[in-house]
Amino acid sequence: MHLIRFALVGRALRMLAMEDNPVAEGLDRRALDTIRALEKPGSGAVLQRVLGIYLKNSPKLVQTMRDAANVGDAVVLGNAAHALKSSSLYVGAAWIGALCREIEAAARSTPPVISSALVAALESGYPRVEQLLRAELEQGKA
Amino acid sequence: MNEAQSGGSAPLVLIVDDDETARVLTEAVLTNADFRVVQAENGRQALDAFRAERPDIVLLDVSMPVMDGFEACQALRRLPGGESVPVLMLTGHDDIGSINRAYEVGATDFLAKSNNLEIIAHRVRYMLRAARAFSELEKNRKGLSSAQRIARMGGWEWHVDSDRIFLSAEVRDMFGLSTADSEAKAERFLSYVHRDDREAVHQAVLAALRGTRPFDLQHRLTLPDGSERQVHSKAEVSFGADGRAQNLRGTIQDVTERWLAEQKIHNLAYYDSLTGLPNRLMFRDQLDRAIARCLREGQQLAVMFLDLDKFKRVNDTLGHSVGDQLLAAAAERVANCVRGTEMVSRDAARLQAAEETRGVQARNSPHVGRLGGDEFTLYLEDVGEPQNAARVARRILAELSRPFVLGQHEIVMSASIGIAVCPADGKDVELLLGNADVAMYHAKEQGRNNYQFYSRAMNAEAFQKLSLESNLRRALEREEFVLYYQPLVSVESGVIVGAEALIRWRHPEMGMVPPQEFIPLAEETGLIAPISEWVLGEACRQAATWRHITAQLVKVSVNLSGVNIRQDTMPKIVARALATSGLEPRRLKLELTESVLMRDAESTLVALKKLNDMGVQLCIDDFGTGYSSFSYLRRFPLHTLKIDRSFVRDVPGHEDVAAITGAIIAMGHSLKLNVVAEGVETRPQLDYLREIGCDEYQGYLFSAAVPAQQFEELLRREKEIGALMPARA
Repeated sequence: MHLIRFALVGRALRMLAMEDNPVAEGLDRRALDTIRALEKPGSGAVLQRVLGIYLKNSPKLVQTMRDAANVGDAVVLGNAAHALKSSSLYVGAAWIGALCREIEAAARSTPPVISSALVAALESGYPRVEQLLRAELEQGKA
Repeated sequence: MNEAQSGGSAPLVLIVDDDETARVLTEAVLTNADFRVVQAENGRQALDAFRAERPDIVLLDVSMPVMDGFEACQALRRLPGGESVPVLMLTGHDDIGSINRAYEVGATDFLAKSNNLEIIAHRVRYMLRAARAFSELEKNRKGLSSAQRIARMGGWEWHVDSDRIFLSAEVRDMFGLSTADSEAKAERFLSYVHRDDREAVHQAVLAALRGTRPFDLQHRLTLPDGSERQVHSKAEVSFGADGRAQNLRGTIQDVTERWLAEQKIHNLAYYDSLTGLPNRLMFRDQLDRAIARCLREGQQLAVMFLDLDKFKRVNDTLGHSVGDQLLAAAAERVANCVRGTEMVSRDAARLQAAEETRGVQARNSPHVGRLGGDEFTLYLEDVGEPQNAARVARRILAELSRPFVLGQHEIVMSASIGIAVCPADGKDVELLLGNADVAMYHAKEQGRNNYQFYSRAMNAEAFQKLSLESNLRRALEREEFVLYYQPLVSVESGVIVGAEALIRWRHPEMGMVPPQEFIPLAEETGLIAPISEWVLGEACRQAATWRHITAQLVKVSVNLSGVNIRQDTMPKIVARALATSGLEPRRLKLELTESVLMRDAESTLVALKKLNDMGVQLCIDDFGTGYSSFSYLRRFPLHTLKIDRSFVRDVPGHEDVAAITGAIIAMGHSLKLNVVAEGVETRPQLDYLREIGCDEYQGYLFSAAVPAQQFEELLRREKEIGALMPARA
């Protein structure tokens, strides 16, 4: 059981350590292209709406995860990780999505594991993703 | 929702997801695909949205706060209309574990979330199409089911190899069968087929399996509760590659109601509502078939045309209501007359019944119809001789002449009847009814209240027979019968050993009537019973006096007809005759013909044993003319065998006959029977009989049948001769 837990967390840390990971470099442009493809005359700026929603909700989710990790609430941590994972994958924030998947999996394993190291990695990495997405948003508006 | 784009008839999709990005993206995909969309953030909202919006399909995210997708799906299925709405469960991007759970809670399908958003639109489109097809199928099934229920029809399938029958739920419900009946051995279902229809169903199945005739027939079922149904069964056979029948697939329809309605219509169309008798149409139809049978079987059939005399007067004076009642009552009496005839004709053993037209065979209920007004028609099948029809006509007239009591009215009626006989008076319905009608007018001309044959000859014969019959009835009272005696003589000694008592009718006008002219009529009318009783009594009485004349044991023989011996009372009648006369039983000999003995051998045996126990001797008469079972001959307690006169007539000239006669005598002796020859007229005949060992004889050679006095003279003279020649061996 412990071996599995350490394996999960270890895999996430190794992923973070890979400097040349293209996902870590920035955004999955294919995901953004998919969303752009949905934009048809009359359907409005879907990408802008989605990015707006993401940028508004995500900091709250990161904060929730931090608080949950601090108080040791695995359920709240898992739920928040799940929510952030899902939306991150939609908007091409693959690195955040992958990290959240690991956090969620650990939090929902039996017994639950609260990986403060991963949450800390998320906190430190999120601003960069936010910056990139905001750039996309601005670019779309222009 | 984007009304402008989607239009009113576009399918409405309910998107349930707590993730706003997911909702926005999914909505974008679906509106692009021309769906209308409503959203909900969690399970609880989803249920409210479902009630309010009635979406055509629900996309349900699994992981949500407040009420998750599983819970929401379960709750949704319990909502009205929620049980059949397609639900697509959207699991996490990588959450394979939720899939099983999704199906457990009633999701129609699942889809793992992915960045390939278009796939959602395709899946939704596919699911809606499937749901529509399914609901149509369901609608059809329900429609078919209710159509079958309304038509009271169900399906069944018979697997030939396993010999099992599968019944649809409709069949079970319709006939109140148990679930055990829904799949069972064919035999089980066939046991519900009405007993009388089983063979027909069986044959229909065989014909269908052979491919010679489609299975399509109406038959009855007898259900477990005992009730009976009319059903129409139809089926098709499917054949395997080897050409063998594999199964029979068919329908069964309960047509009882329709059948009953048809019966009712049939009754209205073919029966007279006032009298309940067949109407003109039905009667003609029945008669037509009866004529065909009559001609085919070479029988005689009588058609009667009956008209109530002066019926119009009843209608005019008492009103139509009374007239109608009278018609109904008269119809009933007429029908009863014919019905009675038929019952009686079946029970030939009942003597008193012989009067009631022996020979009229019944096939169905009385063949009486109302032609209209006060006219009735009837026919009698296999009437034997036409005079039997006259007897029925007389009975109808007698019945109708009894007063009818209708309310406070007492009405006396009579009728005129015309009779036509098939084939003599016609071979079709038209001609026979027409001629019967003509004959009926003759009856009217004759002063009403009588019957007339169409044929004059038959009228004459009927008259003669009628008068003979009534004369015969009176003959006993008037003591017109007498007994003659023909002596029986010992072949060896030439001594009188007995006499056969023979009846004669001394008719005041016709003179002496020989027995062959009135005995058949007596048998037919039942008068044979009192006549036989008289013969027995008289013969015993006279024979008892013979012992005063001679010391010889002189027996008296009395002929019994077949009718007599089948009477239970016969032994009693014999005992009474013996007791009254004081005649010793061994001096009474009863003669029965071979054919009478054999006709009902077992019951005759019982009667003969009783008579034998009384000490009375029994003789088989006319031996050699009929068919005898040797084993019965041995079992009957017989004492004497009388060879038919035809064997005596031709001896000794014909060698063949002589040989047979010799054999009969030898056989008789082997059975320890006394052998008597009758009709002995010549000396050579007697010599031959002596040669072959015959014991006794009778015939003109010695004496014809003579009155009692004359016979007594013979006895006296013999006694005198015997006294003169005591040495005669």
